[in-house]
Amino acid sequence: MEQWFYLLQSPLDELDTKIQELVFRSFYQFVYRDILFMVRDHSLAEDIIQEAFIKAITKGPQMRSCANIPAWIKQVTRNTALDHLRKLKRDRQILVESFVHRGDTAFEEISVTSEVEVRERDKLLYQAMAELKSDYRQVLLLFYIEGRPYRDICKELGMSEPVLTQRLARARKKLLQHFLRKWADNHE
Amino acid sequence: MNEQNEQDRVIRKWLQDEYNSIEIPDPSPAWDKVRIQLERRRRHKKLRSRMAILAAVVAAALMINAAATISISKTYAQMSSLLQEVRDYLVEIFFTKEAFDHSAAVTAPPAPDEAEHAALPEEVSLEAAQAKLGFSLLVPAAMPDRYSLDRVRIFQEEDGEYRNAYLEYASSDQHIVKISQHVISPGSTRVKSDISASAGDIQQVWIGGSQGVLIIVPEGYATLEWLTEDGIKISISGKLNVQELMRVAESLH
Repeated sequence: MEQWFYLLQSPLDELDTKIQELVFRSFYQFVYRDILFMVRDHSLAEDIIQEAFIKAITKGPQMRSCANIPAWIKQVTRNTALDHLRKLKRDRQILVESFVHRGDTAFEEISVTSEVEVRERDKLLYQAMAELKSDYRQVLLLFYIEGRPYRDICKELGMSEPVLTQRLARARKKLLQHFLRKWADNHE
Repeated sequence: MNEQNEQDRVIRKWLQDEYNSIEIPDPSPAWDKVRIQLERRRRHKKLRSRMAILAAVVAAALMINAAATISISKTYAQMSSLLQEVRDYLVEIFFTKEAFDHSAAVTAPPAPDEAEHAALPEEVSLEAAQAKLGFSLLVPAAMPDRYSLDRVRIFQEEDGEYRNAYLEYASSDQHIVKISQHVISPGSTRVKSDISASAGDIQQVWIGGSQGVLIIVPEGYATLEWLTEDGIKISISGKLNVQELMRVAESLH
């Protein structure tokens, strides 16, 4: 495990500024992709990371020495992201429009090659993801990106396996629906 | 089922590709904001620590005052004035014989600093001090051998009375122990001591039948202050360990 994980178990407030910066930068790199995957907005992702970092250094010294620190960090940050999303009650349509705009700009620059289709697929997938509820994005992240087993995910989210199975199925279905609609629109 | 698994595989690959394509930006702007928050947290932590020491000192001072006034209402009446006198890193312990009720006074009381600096110091012998002072000067019988009496100073106040005395004991390695004695008479202005809020360990102790405040600082210095039943505020401070300090205090006669 990298050194900076252990530093979170120390009272970081009392350490040198350079060490604090090292820990923060490492923390940022560690969680950024997860959070952007969930919230789809860079500014919001940064706010969430800052808030989660403060929570982590506050609670870190209370952690047991045998704790799984990386998993704990990810969980704290994800929960902070969910809190923000629920608080904001962000309008998904606004998000979609901003991503569609970005997608259009990128699409104009693309020349016709197989790599283009891959990029196009990723862009449309990105847009489709943005249209999903944050709860769906969360389970997709935990299952497909982190590769966590059902039991772990159920424990973290406080739900039963049947409920998780159903949520994952709906998340997949919605993602494919959004994606395929966009793909069809783009190729009419 | 195969179709389901295939769908799963495709989705997993797509999502992982999308996840891995996310570029992580430079965290410097975020770090600038977090750095400010961390500095704020450090300042708040220091303040909380000082307030905790202040609370302990206030509690001790209240007990001393309660012993002097034998009146809970007067004790609590002075709590706010005690707190108001905290300046930066200094905590002032007030020793008084009664609550201050200035409402009937014709003339406003002097500011504390003015009252303290009004007395003129005189360096005298022990015998001369005992003769001039308006109270019985207490002398320790159990000062550690390395210290000997070096200087005696008494202070004459504006009314001509001597109510303050300082005994200075010096050691061969130039450490000094000071014993100050100050009569607090009814109606007198407040007498106070200044203690650094980051001084160190603060304890309540008993000297004879009187409660006192003991402050132990890390460098081997200590201060003990209490109000005797006769209304004399005594302070002993210097490079003494706690046992030596208590022996000196208990041996005053």
